[in-house]
Amino acid sequence: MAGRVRHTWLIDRDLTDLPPDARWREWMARVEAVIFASSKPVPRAVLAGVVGQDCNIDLIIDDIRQELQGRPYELVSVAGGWQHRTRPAYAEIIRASGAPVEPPSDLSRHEATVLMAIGYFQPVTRGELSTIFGKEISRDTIAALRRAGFIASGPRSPTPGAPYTYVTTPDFLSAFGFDTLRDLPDIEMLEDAGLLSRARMDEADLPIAGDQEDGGEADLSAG
Amino acid sequence: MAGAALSALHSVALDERPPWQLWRRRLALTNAAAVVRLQGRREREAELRDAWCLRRPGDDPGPAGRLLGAWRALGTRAALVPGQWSATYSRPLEQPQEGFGALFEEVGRSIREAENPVAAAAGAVTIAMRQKPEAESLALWLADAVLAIRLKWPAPVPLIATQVRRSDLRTAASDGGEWLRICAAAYARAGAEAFDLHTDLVRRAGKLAAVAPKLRAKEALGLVSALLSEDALAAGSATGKTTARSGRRFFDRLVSLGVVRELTGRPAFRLYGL
Repeated sequence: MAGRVRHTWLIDRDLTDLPPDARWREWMARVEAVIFASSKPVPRAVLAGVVGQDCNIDLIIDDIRQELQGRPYELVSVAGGWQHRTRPAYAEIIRASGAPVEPPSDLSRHEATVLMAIGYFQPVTRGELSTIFGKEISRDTIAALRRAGFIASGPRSPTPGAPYTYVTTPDFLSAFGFDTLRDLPDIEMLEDAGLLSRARMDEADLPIAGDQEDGGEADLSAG
Repeated sequence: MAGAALSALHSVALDERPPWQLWRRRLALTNAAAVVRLQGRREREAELRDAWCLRRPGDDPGPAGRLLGAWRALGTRAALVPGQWSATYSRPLEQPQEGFGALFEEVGRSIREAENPVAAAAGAVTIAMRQKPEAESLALWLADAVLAIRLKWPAPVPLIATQVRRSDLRTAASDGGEWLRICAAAYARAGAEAFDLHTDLVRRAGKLAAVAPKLRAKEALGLVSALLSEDALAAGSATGKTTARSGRRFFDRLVSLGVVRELTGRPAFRLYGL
């Protein structure tokens, strides 16, 4: 996914012929248009390229958010950029409508569950995933998640054969509306849904991402 | 309080004899592990060390391993140059940090304005968290870099990340005075721990140096100096000439002499260090 060539020098960014009010409105419109059209969260640097040098992006975003109050969608900051999102209150309605929705729903239920498990247990090998699920996780499932851009290879595991581990990508975070891995839903939700079994996880002896445990580190300075 | 701990630390931070690099790299490991935890990842020090030491040429150390790379880079001279921060921080992470130019400039300008070194470091975090609330890792990285610049250390010492919580970073953005107090206490604790680690490593380095003349393996010289500068070594990775087998035999001998430790407790993929 090579970035397209940027021609922001072709744009009149400063709009000096407009009165301040109209200029500000035009900047807001540009910023929202770019975010609306982009297939990924738009980072600050990209937005800065379509507005004046001394334009404060944060104030622009605040004003756009103000305008979107009362709409069923909003501007959210995800994975280091901004994106339009429908408000969570409408999630049920959208699901029930059956309208085709972006990436996450392209995955099968099984693939989505494996993806969430990788999110929690990364870096994790295919063998460890198979232990967690109590059945073989196929190479095809891994390949599908990789093709979707949600996972990548992590470091090799220091176990026989040195298999590669898998980790989630920034695209995974943004597609699911997470800023960081801390935002993953509570693992108990997956358990309650019968998707994972804690007993099998214990067997695999894998700590869980997002669990805040302090201490217990190997103390390197001890004699 | 921070003053006392940091003045004790000051003399060892200025010392450029071995194990100056090993000390910074091991602190980089503990600090990177703390940042990884802050990000909600599950890797601990052992996994970070594995990701870093066991990768083959061209291997990606993974997101957590790359973060360790950024903290190892923090402990080098390059991190003392604000004009190079962008490259020094983001090259190991392998992702260009877009839109951080203004942040680096503002932090760079602020260094001399603060009343004292700890206030300068605290101020860097406040600037970073106000401009980029999502850049928690970078904020902590910059604090240690700024502290070292103000204290004229030969290279930054990774310190503060082990001692702050996420809520502290929110305070940094909202209440500069309260954050300065938290930050000073954090540096006092981190400084005391780093000082103890330095004392311990100097003692271990002395023990290794004492047995070094008795080692007859032809690669002994290179491996001993690698042990004095690296956090951990895989049996086969120390020098180009060493095979995994002879490396392992050499390290196991040092372990039996009580001057080197095997750090993983595993029967395979072992790692050795002081």
